[in-house]
Amino acid sequence: MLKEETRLGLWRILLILGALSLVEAAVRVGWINPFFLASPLQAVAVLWSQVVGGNALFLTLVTLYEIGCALFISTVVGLLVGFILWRYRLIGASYEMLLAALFSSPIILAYPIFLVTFGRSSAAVIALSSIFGLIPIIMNTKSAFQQVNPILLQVGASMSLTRRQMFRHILLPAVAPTIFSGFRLGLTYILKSVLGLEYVVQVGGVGMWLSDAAFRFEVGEVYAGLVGTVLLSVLFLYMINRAELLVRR
Amino acid sequence: MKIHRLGIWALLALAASLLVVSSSWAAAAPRKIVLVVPHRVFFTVALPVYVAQEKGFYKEGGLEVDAVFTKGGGENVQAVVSGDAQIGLGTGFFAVLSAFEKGAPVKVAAGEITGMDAFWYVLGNSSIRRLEDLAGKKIAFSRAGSSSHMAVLAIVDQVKAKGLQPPEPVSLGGLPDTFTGVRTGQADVGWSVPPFMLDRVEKGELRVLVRGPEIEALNAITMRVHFVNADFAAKQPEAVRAFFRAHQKAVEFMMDRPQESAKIWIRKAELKFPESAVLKTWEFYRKPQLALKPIRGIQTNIDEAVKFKFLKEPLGKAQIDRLIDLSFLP
Repeated sequence: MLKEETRLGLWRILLILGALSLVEAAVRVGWINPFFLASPLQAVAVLWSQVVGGNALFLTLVTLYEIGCALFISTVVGLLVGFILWRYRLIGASYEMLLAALFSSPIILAYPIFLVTFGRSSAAVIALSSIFGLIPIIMNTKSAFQQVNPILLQVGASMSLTRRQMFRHILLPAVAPTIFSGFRLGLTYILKSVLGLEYVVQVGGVGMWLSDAAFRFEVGEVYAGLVGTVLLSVLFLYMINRAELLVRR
Repeated sequence: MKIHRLGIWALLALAASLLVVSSSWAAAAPRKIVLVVPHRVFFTVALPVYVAQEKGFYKEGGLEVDAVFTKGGGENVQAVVSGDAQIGLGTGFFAVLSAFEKGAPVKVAAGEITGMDAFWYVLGNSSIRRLEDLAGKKIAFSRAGSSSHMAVLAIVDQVKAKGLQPPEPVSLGGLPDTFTGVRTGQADVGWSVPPFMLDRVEKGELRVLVRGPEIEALNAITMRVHFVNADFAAKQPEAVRAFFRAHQKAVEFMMDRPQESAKIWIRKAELKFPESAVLKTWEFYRKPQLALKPIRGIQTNIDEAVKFKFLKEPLGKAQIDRLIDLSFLP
């Protein structure tokens, strides 16, 4: 009898493989025009050839670097600001609505300002993408601290825990789930922003590669880039999940 | 009985007349063409469409033309390949070559422009005044493999040929991004296409440094082409011929009557430039550049397409003959 987790994992893999097989068949049979959608096997083959003989590895490292920097900046600033907004209620109440409004605005349209300020380089991509990741982390951090059950703090006080022990063993595990949800949300927006900007502005890594491939009508490379993007996001999400487990231990 | 027979004859006569009328209606119904145009302002693609619409050239040819504006390049090609559009205007030759190599049903039906139509500018107070002053400077183009890139590489060669340090090509994207880049020092020389930036040239903010025709290496090369969906062209060749007759008429009209064409352009494209600046566009174009045929510099285009990875290998003569079909032109 298989464990529940293993069963779910197998179902997940089966569903994904099933969907990919359908697409593969549809392209081969001609239901889907191969000019507009590369078959999964073709995309993987092109990705492999680009990794081994092309620029894909270097471009991926550039994108990873941009995502990593943006995530780091968003995390550090986001946690700090989120904590301040919770700690000082007046500031929190004043800025919460503005943050929510900013979050739903198309900030991406401000990219020319970042290009002028930081130049047409990865710096502009990192700067703008950090803002995208920042807001969900701020909002989730504030929310996380607000939701901590005061009884937990009272229990800690009753056990005469030091402030450090209180923070490490009570506060941190209590706020971790919501804060890490903020990280996952922030990462999603950072990924979209980094790849989108690279595509539009043609700087950086994978996004620039996708833009170039689309311009050259190389459908296989476009979808190879997309597969690479999915793998990147899976990698980052896995790292965030591992970090959450570590913190909650 | 007589009345009954008369009734039957009357019915038959009515049916016959209805048949004749409906078939003549069908014959007279305009043929529909969806056209993809890479920009709603550019002189060589948008203006002929506006003129043809305004002056009724399409209607004269029995056509109902629906113009859809895209970002050009691969977007144009995909629209025509999918059959959503039947004709693509002013598309980079490389993009069409690339699609053809991959088996797309496309045919190059006409040339759009031979030679370069963009111009390169500097800020009004720049010390750069001649080609020689470009030595060691940064000169902008849109993106790798574009016609502006080819032009910049040709400019670099022209400067190198004078024994000077070659300028550095810098990819700055489209017209607004390029202008921003020049203003902020990311490049010393920007590029544009008329009528854009001509109002700033008029005010003295910018100065034209190099005009497209001055890039000698490109004067004998067709940079962009009009192409058709091959399946549509096979089924409705007369519609394609009618379209290019109308298009030719529109191009001749706009080159012969700049004042009237400028007014049409300003209204249809909602241009915000003064008419005097718009009229300066005509100084950048000569009629022979806009001739629909012949397609010039085919081998050079193919070699460059291989260099920029639009083609895996050069096309053979049989492939070129299959790709280029100028029989639809007047």
